[in-house]
Amino acid sequence: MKLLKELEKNLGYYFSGVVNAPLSKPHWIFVSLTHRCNYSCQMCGVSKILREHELDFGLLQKVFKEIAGWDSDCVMVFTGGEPFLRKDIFEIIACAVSLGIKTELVSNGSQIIDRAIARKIIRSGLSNIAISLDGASAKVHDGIRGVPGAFEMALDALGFLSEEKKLYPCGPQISVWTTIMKENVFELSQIIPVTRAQGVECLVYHPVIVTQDDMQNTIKSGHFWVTEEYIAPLKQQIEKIAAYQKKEGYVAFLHDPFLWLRYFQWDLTKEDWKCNPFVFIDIGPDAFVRSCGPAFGNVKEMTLSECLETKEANRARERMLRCDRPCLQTCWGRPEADALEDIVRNFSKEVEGLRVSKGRKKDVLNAAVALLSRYESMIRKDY
Amino acid sequence: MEPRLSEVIISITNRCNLQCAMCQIPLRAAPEMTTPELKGLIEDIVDLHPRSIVFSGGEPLMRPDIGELIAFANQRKVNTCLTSNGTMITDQTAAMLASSGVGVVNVSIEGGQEIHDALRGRGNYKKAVDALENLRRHKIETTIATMVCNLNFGSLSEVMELAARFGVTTVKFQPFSDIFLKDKADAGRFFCGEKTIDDIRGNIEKVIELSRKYRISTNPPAYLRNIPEYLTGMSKYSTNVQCPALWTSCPISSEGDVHLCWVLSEIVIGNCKSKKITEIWGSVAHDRLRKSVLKDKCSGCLMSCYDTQYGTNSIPELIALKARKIKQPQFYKRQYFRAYQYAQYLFKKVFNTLLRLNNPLKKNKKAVSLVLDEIRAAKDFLRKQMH
Repeated sequence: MKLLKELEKNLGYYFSGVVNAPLSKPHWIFVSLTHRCNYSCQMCGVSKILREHELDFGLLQKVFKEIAGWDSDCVMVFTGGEPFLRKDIFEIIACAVSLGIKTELVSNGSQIIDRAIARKIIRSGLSNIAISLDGASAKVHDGIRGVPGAFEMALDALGFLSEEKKLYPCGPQISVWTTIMKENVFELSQIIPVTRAQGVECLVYHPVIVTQDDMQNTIKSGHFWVTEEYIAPLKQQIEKIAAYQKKEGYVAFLHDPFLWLRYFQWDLTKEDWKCNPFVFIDIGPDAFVRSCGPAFGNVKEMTLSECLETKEANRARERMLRCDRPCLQTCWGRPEADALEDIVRNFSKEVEGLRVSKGRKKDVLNAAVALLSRYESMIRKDY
Repeated sequence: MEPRLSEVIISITNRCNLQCAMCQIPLRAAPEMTTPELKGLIEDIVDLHPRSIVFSGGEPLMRPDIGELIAFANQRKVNTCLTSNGTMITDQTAAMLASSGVGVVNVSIEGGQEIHDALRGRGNYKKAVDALENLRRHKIETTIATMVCNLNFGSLSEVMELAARFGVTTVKFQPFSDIFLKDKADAGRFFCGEKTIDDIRGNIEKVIELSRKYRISTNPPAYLRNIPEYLTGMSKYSTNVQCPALWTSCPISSEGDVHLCWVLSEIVIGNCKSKKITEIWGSVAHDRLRKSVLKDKCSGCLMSCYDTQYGTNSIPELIALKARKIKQPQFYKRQYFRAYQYAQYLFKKVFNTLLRLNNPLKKNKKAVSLVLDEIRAAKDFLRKQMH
């Protein structure tokens, strides 16, 4: 039953935090297929490091097989660099998909140059394709991406994808990811009509982080930081976006969008946004596994599960649990699993809303109590 | 590394039997914590391993449970200090305090008889001096606190002489501050004209000299030498001193509010009746407040809580001062408590983190029971939903 599975997962994440041991497998598995990229976006330093490393197909296959055996509804996100620069990208996707893994991919769109490639992507079995778009005009987007014509290419790619999706409606959701930064503050809400016109189905905003791998080192003097004088325009934009979202949906908020203001004002605290170190992992092109901060294992040498249980993993997570610089990057958070009280309350509310008999509802609640008892006895036994 | 918490100051009551000119705390009627609440608080404070717990007020002896509270802290091997105006320390009270195991009793004396009575009310000098005598008889280490202002700077050396006579180990001077006044407009008469600065300086130098002569601890000379400028308003405060008091001292008001600092009394970190002090002290919110205060909210002060920042006595002087303290009957017990708390603190800081192997529940019975409670509550909630 779906509700119980969800409860089990949230309880897993919650108690993982309590004992600092992975009781639930990560939900987000980011796989950085290559650090090569044809763009040199100013806010991203990825293409400058580990360029010579790339995960080979055999290793990927091994990792996919392991994940497929987890019996957990995780989502694998292929990132880079630019994933479409890999010649075997479609084989990689096909391999994961054939093992039953839910896959998503993030691209700059520059390689989706015609309908034929778009068709391949739409029919590849991906469940989401995200194209990065950082402005509503060529001037802003190209300025940030460092390549003239990038804006046109991204819009074309989105157009090709949505046309192909019309022919194959069960293809991936077509979405756009936008990084909020000083350079595009004034255009944020404008991105909505621009992308909607291209047939995009979902828009996700996330605030810029200045260092890529470790939020604890983020500095607000960074180039793209939305500084004090830009806070008021950002607020206006958020108001516009939120109003639109209320009416039309389309924009996916994973938390209160006004938290972005506090984030940029350097005022966000643990109480506002908590990181759950068990929800997210990233496998780099050098096969090192990390969630935030230092890496804690290498999938060339051990399985992914073993990586999660190393001492280094423990240490990294403990550091994350202590982190008081919330980054608002949605992959690292699982607000629905922050507090036991909320988990249980939300669950019972959903059970309440189920259209089944009273007896059945009682069974479900009983199953939930049994789940809790399992954690109770585990804690009693181990501690 | 953050400085260690040194003293937790609990104002157990705002009530007082006196009405001193420079203090209007008793006018701020406030609810008080009950004895069990205070005991719970002390229990939690011990988990923070401070060097000492200071019972202050108002006049703490106004509460009949003061001996019980001190004894409770004493059992937990933490040093205690009681600040009092001395008027209630009869022979009987001193005996009660001695049996409670109090570490130090701090009596406020403002100068000679005339000036003391002028500030604190007629007849109170004699009572305070009797208190010193009673405390000495019952072998309780005694210190003196003196507020320095326009009215008494001339009789500071009298305080030193008195201290020497009664075997007082420390005299702490603290220039007048308007934080204890309800109506800040009254503050003017406690400050001095610029012309008197040399006079004040002379008196301060005399105090420093007497402290060397009698080997009585006072504030560091460099701090004392700031007082004349402060009182005459010539240099208001020394804000270039990085204030460690935000880390080293934890003030708690009679209603249980944990403050960042007495001077910034409007800032409350949390209330220890609704939350444990261990969750309030050092929390994320606390840290944020400290940072914002150090950045722009602090206008500076000359409170003696951070006087060591101005420099300390020279090492031979320190040895001489210590040598006199060793003769105190409670000396070894106090050093033992201090070392005990410090060891606990270190142990927690260093070994616990290693031993726990990054697992927050390991070796932490309290955390485990909290989690179990939480699970129980969740289960009860679900069971209730079934009906």
